Amino acid sequence: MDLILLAAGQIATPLTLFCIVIGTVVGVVVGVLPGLGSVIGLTMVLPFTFSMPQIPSIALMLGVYCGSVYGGSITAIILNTPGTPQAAATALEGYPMARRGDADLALGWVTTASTLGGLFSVLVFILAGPWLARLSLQFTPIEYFALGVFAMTCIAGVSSGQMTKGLVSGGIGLMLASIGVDPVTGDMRYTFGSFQLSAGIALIPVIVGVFAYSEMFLRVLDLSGDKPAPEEMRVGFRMPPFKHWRMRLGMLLRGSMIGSFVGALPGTGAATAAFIAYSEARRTSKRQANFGKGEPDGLVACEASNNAVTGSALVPTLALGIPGDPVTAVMLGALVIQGVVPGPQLFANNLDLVYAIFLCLILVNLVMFATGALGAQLFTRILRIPEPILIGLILIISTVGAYGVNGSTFDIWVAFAAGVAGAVLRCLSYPLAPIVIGMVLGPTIEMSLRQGLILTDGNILEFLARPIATVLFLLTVAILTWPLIRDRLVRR
Amino acid sequence: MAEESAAPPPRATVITDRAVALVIVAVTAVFFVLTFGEVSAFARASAGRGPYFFPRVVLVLLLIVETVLLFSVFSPRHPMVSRRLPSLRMGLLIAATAAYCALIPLAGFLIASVIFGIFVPVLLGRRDYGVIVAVALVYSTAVWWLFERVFLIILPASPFDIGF
Repeated sequence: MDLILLAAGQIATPLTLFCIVIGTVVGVVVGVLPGLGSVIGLTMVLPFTFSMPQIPSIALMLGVYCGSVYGGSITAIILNTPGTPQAAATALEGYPMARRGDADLALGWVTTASTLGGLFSVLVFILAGPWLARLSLQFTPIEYFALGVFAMTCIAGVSSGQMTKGLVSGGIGLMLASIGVDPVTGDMRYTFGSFQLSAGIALIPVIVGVFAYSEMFLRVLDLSGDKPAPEEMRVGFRMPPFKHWRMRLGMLLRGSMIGSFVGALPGTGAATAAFIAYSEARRTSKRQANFGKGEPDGLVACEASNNAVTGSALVPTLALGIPGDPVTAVMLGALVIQGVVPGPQLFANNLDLVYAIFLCLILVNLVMFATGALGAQLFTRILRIPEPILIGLILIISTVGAYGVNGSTFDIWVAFAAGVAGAVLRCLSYPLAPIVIGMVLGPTIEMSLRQGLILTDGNILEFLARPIATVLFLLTVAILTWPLIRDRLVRR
Repeated sequence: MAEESAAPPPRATVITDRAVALVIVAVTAVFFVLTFGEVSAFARASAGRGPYFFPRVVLVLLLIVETVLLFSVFSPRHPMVSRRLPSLRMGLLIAATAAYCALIPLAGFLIASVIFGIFVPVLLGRRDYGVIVAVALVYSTAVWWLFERVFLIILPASPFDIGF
């Protein structure tokens, strides 16, 4: 209880509250703009966190994360153009509802479902985080190695249906992580005599390049002068009556549970959760016939689920130090810069910080509701900013993010190179998330493998004598072989 | 839409896909060869698990996966998903960004950002110069002021010694 009060005291500062509000608003704005999304939003605010205290910077990041997941649904409803991939399922019911003149009601459903889904995920975080952290205390380096390999395979394996390219991307990430000083022997690896490379390639400039720069380079290909008509963007907010809500509480709960479960799995994310929840809602709804014509059941299910991902995705990130997607990888990078070391010790020694994160998430979800209810019309005006101007502005702020980590112009060039490579790879359908996750997990996988080999006197087969590790290895093999098995089954 | 997905991908995209796959394989091979380079005496004494032990494991697995990738991209049934082709504008934006990166240490962050903020919209077809200049000036100055003065992140200064 004392720790909760301590955490509440840490949050109740003007700076933290300001960061929660600003972060959420920026997140919603980024979500509203099609093509940007959570990672670019987080990359944009990253430089602001470098010189901030721990709690306000975490609050800012959480605000952007949750706000951006919600913001995408506003454009999905009004323009049938999801601002983020997570909101793609929302457009299926939201846009027809807007077409029949109920855009304000659709926003009411979406905002409330998003907030409740987000709050549900905080509950999951509160319950599952400490449990997973306690469980992970039994982990030796062998389990961490197995977990790292499993997470890598999940992320690479489920990448946009391009498993081979996903695995190649993951391998590239692991190789980038191995540049610099070897952590055990102190030898230089792949530095080619460069002083800058001896410190390794920093994660943040690569994230900035791979996501923000490459997205801006590719946006040029889709530039059009077409802007939505002002009357299309006139939208208010109307709260659905409680009697309509009462009929859909089961749908809300089911969507939240699906989102919380999917969010904790590596390599999935909010878009997957939203589509699973939507198809589940369509399958079980009593109003099946209305689907595709603006049925609130579908809206409630997918919005509750995509926002329920936010809290549960933080569970493996904070309890194990294993990020499940690029968004949590950026969050992890920012936390490490702030001096937070994710893992079981975080829950054992810094419980006040963990409680502060819980409370921040609750506040962010409440602010998100207020932001959506009061500012929906305002946010849609952002769509009027000409894209050529926006591209320049995002490139400038992203450059500050790349530079600000180490104050090095070398990092700007790293970001640029990552941006060009990212644009080319994206054009050719290589998923980019595995590169970043490979860079994050590379040092953990390498160190735990080497420590595990020391523990087992160099006998790698002894890794299979540990039950948790064996289960994780079997799951890894299953993920790798599943496409082959599936193809065989389909051919039959 | 269905028609588009049924059509074969543009030849240039197929060639680029193959070229990129070959470049990735070549870089992997170079990295793999480098794992057999000279290491310190301490590393040699570490029971064969020196600095290149982990990279070598990763690179062997990567080369196996890349073999599958090569078969896939050189196969007549090319499983390409994207049909996006780079445009001249995209090339110019990349060149402008490279110039911006080079200009930052030379002219300082603020001057470089103002120039870049004006140049990019013009490059991408905007002709409302008043708005573009105003936005570039206000935005770049605000970002510079916020980081340099509020967050105390020292950004590269201009060589003119005039405070920014």
